[in-house]
Amino acid sequence: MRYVIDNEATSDGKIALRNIVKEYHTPSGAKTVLNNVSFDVSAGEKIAVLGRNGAGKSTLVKLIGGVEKPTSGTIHRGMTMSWPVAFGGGFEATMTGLDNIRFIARIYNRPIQETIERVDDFAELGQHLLMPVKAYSSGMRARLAFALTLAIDFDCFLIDEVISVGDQRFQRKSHDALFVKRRDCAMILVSHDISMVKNYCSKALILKNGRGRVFDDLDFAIDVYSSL
Amino acid sequence: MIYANIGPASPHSVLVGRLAKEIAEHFLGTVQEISANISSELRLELERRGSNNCLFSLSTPDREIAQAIVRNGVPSILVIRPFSELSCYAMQRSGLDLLAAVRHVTCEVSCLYPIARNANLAPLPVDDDEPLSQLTTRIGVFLGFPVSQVNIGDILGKNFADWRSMSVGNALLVYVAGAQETFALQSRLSRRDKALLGEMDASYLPLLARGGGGRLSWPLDAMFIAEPPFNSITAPIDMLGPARILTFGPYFHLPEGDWIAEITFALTENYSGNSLMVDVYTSADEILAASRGELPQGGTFATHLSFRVVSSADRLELRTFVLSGALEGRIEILSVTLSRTEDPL
Repeated sequence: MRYVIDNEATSDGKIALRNIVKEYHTPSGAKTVLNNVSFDVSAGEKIAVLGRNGAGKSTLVKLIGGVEKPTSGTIHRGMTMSWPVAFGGGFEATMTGLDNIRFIARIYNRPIQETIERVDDFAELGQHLLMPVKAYSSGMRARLAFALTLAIDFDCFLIDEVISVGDQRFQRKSHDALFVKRRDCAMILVSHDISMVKNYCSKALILKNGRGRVFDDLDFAIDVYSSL
Repeated sequence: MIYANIGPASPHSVLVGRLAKEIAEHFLGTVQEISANISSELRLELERRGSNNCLFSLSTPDREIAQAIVRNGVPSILVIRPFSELSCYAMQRSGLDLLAAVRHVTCEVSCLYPIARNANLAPLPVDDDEPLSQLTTRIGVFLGFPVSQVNIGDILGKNFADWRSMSVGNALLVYVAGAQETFALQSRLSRRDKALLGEMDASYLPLLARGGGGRLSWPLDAMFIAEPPFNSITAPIDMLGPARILTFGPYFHLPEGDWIAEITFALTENYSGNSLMVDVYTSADEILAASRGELPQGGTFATHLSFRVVSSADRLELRTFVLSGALEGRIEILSVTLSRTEDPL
């Protein structure tokens, strides 16, 4: 193993991945999912991650989010980084929504009561917050995760495709909260939605067969992506 | 009696045609010169002719004319000149740029190929320093007329005033319209142009020589990268970008028949993979052959395309396409070689 996770070692407002290689061992041998991928995200910068299915996007999200470690390469996190927005897989299912909020607020060193109020206000789960998360529908779980992501106030949001949570009104509210009220935050947006990428991103990382390349010209990147 | 002066148009072929006409008229009386490369036009001219004696001037004869010349054993003179002269003459006459002129000459050579390979025909070498009378005598021999010291004055005296002291080179300048301008253009060709034309000589002129011309190559200088500023494909091409056409050209012509194109590529840094398609496309808006395949990460490889040229008048294009968006990779065409696999005559 030759990886380094430089997790918030310095708050220089920059996320930098260098020469990231990720291999998985399979019965048929090692499979390289990411092969020497490098890119930077500066404070306030919004980068799209584009690629066909199987290109390595989800693996990259896991590595950036710290869920998995790279086989080699370095990940420098010089700003606070969210988990994938609306991703509810990190909840302890037997705990109530409220307890999960307390738990996460403690982990991220945020004032507990204020965090609870912000989540309650945004997620609109009401009395359901007193129930174990395992009793939540997938929509409720996603709303809780989304609200919690916003309440923590990250410097950089990791958005992995799914941000269409809840009914139309809630979707509009989520969109507004993420892209309008937090327009100065950095974002790593993994999406197949070209119009969303065009609306919110200034550059793009395209992944193809594990290889990655950053394009500062977004229109050119979309042209390339559209014919992958 | 019918005679033919064939060859890609050049000042030399024009002079030889005039001398051939003088000779034939001396022995046969009035000889009508007919310049027609399409059989229907030629038939029309023959119907209109006022004499039984004709001299055809052919530079891009269609298949029917070529077959008739060969089948009937028409006494013919073939004058072959280098591409520099042929192309400059085409430029001078038609206002073409050099590459368009080269394309035109490939059309002439390809159309003349079936006649030139006729066993009864041999090229007539022409030397500029040679006396005009000597060339006249040799033309007479080619056409089967007894030109000698006795009658040569009668043959040349009428239209070539100073024929006794005149060399072929001088006669060209004095008696062939456009010759001076052609030679001036030739003298101004750049080194790169000369190199291209030299390649064309080596590649295409053997088609007009008996027993040669089974294999030729298309110069990379005549093919282009399909992006502004449309440079020649003489350097590696960056594959970065969307799926697209990478190269096109040269819009050259080939003799009718079956051909195999061998395209050799060199590839580097194609770590994320891609597919390449190569096709042969004609001005008749038809894809004659296509092949596609996955590209390796790097190395040298070749692809082969078999196709049939049904008309020498069709311009041919070799196109390469990268079939999906590319993040990296550099590809270079090293050579395009064409081999003839079947002779229709």
